[in-house]
Amino acid sequence: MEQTDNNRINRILFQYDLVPYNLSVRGNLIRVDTPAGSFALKQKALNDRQIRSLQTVYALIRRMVIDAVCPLPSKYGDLVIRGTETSYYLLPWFNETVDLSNLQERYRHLFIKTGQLHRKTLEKKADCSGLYQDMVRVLNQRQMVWEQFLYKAEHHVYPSPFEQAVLKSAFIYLENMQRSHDFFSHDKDDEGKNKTMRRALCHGRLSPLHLLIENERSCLTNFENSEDGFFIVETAMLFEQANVMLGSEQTNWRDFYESYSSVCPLTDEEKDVLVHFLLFPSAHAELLSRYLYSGQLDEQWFVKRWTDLCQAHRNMFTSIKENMDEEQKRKEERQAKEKAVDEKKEK
Amino acid sequence: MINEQDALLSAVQANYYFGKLRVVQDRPLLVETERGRKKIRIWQNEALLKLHLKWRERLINDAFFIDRMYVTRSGLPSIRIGRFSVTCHDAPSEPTALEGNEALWASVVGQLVRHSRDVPAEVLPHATSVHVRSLYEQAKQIGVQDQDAWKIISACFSSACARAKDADRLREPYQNRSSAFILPEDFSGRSCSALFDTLFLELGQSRPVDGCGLLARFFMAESMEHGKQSMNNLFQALKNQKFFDRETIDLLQAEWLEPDEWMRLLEYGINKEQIPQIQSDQFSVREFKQIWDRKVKLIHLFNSVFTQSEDAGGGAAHGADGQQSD
Repeated sequence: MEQTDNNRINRILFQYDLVPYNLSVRGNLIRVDTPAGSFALKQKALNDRQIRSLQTVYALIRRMVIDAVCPLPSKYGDLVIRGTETSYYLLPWFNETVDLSNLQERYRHLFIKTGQLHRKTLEKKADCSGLYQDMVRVLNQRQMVWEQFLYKAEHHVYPSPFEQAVLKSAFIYLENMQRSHDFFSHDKDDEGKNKTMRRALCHGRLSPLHLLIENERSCLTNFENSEDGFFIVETAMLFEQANVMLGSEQTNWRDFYESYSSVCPLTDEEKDVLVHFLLFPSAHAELLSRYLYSGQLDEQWFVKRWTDLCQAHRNMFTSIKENMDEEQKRKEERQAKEKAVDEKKEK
Repeated sequence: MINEQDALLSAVQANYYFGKLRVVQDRPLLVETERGRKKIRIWQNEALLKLHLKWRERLINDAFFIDRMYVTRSGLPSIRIGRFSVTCHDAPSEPTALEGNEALWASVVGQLVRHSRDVPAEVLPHATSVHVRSLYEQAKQIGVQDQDAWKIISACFSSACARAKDADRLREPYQNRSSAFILPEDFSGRSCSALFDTLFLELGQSRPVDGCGLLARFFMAESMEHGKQSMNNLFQALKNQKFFDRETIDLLQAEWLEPDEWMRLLEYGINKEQIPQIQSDQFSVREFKQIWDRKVKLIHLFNSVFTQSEDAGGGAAHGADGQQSD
């Protein structure tokens, strides 16, 4: 780094009373080696809301509610050193032991850490009718993309290979979307009251890259978009994201689901939301939209991508559903046993 | 028996993350730590401490450092010891001259003018011209004996009156302002040190006073010490930043236009006549001339930079046209 850059960094580090003996750029971070240890300095544009989110998470870490990596406070007590255009924050340096390309392992840790984050910050149930209405809006948008695609494909005398591939599986997805639509359209319970669900702190940008793993310890980081919310949506989005990222890789979805639900057990309503959310995957609709609006088309690539997405989605959905069904079965058996024992006692 | 300083140091050590402490100076209290030299400030006035905390908050920026309070282990900006509060600050010691660092100084001054604001610390003087005339009449009645001094006092009387009138006219629109530029009472060229290619401003712990008055005196002192080029560079850098509004420009000019050096010479003469046994501060004709001439030059330079291309309606009518003491 040049002298002016060094002084710019030194000005930041002065606010932590750190004197570096080595500075090196590592991706979007600067590794800072000092006699007091090694740190990661991150430069990022942050707004007031994001800084408030970091402060909330920092307070939770200090109270040992969650185990995560958050910016270290400066000697003046600031978590973020604000500049006119960009801000800086300092994190402890992690010698990562799992490569960034090892997505299977990183997602395994990510499902556990996400479960822990949600479990430790659980709040009371809250009215979720707004969420259901949002879901219906999203579903309508995706259904519209499907309808546009199918309308175009059906009016072609000779549908393209990709159109043929989509048409072949369309009825399943259309039916699934209708099931989801029916589910999310009912935002009231049997008594006519608005449905409620549990809230918790949601990370906001879950990704295998926002996780630091050093040997057995793994910690979530990059909490600037975190906020309170219906955590099941974040969980569902994580499954959807992992499904796209891992694609055709052999993935044990049961393990991922169990990792999550063992630390953060889901209620029946949350399971229902998860299942119905996964019935209208965004990646499929995005691919159809891309096909509709992109100029140059590589039919082969689209067909391959569609086949992979469908297969990965089927594997994930089936595994999770089977696991939930088994859980339900075990629960019913346990209840039946308990009932039988109670009846025996009464007799 | 533990003396007060030992108790203070052990409280500092316990509340901040310092391993070792060694006193290097008593007043102000400077301690050497494994994390550099720190200044320990003792606050007897809790309201002043709160004011300074808020003041520093408003001044946080990425152009220069401020002597912000270290937070304690529990995240507080001060320690309470009996009736006092104690704060800990950085204490860089590399002095920095204005010459060669004009852009850095301009950045500090610009930010201060923009963000160091509060309710006015004091009422702006509004009757300087009346004061000038009454003082002159008083001196005439007494009959100041020092012929050299009287010669120059009477020669500069009409100029002093005109300057005082200009100063009053420039200040008049800002008499009822709700927010004013403030600076700590002890602000000077020594308030800044050099640190990593930028400046470290020591806001200290003095009460806030009118910023324009202090800034005008700072510019004056620097212009006495450095050449015209350095001041020109500073004013140009300040102008480029566009932080100086009409109010600041007017009030700075008013400060220089106010013939306080003339009044001082007159008051010195009156005092010498009335109570010759009391030794008041020496103020020679030579010193008066030096300040008077320097002010004329400074106003001229300031006007040439700030009001050259603008509507100079609020600018000074006198002083800048070069009526020097000779």
